[in-house]
Amino acid sequence: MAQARHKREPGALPSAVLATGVHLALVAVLVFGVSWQSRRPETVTAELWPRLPEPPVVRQQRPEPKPQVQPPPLPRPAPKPVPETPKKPDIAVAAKKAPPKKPAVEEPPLDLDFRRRMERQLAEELTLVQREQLKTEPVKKPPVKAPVPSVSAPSVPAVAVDPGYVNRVRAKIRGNITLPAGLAGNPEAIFEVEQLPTGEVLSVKLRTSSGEKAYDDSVERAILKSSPLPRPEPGQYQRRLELRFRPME
Amino acid sequence: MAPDSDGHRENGMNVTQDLSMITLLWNASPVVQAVMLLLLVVSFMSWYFIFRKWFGIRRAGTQTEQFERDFWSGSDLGALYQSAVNHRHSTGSLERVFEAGFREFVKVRTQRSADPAAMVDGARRAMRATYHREMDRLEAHLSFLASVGSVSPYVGLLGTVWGIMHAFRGLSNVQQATLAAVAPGIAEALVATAIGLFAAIPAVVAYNRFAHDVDRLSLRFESFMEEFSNILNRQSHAK
Repeated sequence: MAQARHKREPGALPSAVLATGVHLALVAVLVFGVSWQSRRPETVTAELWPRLPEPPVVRQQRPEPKPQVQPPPLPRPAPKPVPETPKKPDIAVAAKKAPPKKPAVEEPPLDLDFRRRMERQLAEELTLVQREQLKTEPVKKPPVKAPVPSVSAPSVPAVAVDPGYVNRVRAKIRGNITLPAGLAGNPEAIFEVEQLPTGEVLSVKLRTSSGEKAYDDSVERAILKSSPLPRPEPGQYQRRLELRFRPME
Repeated sequence: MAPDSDGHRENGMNVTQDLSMITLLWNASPVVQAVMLLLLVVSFMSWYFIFRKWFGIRRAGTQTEQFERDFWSGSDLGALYQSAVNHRHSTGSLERVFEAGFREFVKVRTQRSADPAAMVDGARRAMRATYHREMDRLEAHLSFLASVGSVSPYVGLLGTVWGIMHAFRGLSNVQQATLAAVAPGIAEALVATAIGLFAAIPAVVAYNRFAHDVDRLSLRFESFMEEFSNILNRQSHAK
């Protein structure tokens, strides 16, 4: 009788299958549901600039540095004429277009600055030489790419950091520094701080340690604590700031 | 493409935490993992019994209905008893109660010295015994569902509390107390509570439902027993 009853107990196998199905569904919901929810929306960082950094200038400078590939001394003088932009590209373009136009180009020597004029002449001659070289072997573009950063890179820090602004930033950070006990001497620690235009600190890098780990750490904590940093004057924003700190200030 | 760009972003800006389920479970502390495994097993068993009881009780209900219809349609008691004996492996609970009572009644009636009250009493006792056995069979595993429903949330809570303790202990080693430092730990700990609740809620619902169904069945069995005793009583006096 008892055995008969056990046999009669219905649906042992279907129940097991259904229970497995329920749990598989649960696992699927958990895995896919949660992973779907935890997918981050694509973050887009937008930085607002008060002025555009005049893109045409940069673009037209590119053909110009070409001649400067070969002569090693030239990359230095090249950045200096960057501010008076409109004329230079003309030269470069003119020189590229046709040599007979040269006389028209040589009008600008109205400049009183002698050195600049000399440089320009040198550049023109070099462009001519370069043009001839290009005619003979036009496939020389890869090396051209190298000087581009050398010209554009110096053009970025052309905006000098306002010392007053840096002092304000340092003052705010200094207020948050807790000097560790038993600090010997007055060593200098240099930090590189990356910030957003709103002043929020993105990262702090120790450029030069003061030699005292405790002091470095406390300054780093103070920088993070000072976020957001004071805002610069409009147009003075710099993503990376170099800040120097000394214990006795 | 998306993960690639994620990886190349500045480290200071994005604290990218992979919060997908598998990594959460994989990184959980052993206690939490053990709790989750236990709860998963318990949940599986409870679902297994839920389905089994569901099938069983539904079948008992239809069989009871069928037998009551057969019984009250006025067919011969002897024929009913014969069919119950012949199909012993497929009879329902109520049919077995009837079979036990009728067998006892017939056995006592064959003895000459039996008086009518003793005949009905014997049949009644036999029916009651079968009834209790059948009720026990119907109610089997319901207590398991009840305890799963009441205990598994606590087990899940234990796992969660343990996981959160773990997460906060890790926080003490960090200079900067950020939410990102504890978030994964708390998330993986909360999974334990989720599994506990997942095991508990269906178990409680099923327990209440099945207990109610079994109660109704037992009521039907008892009223049938009373009515059948009356019929036997009439028959015993008729002879």
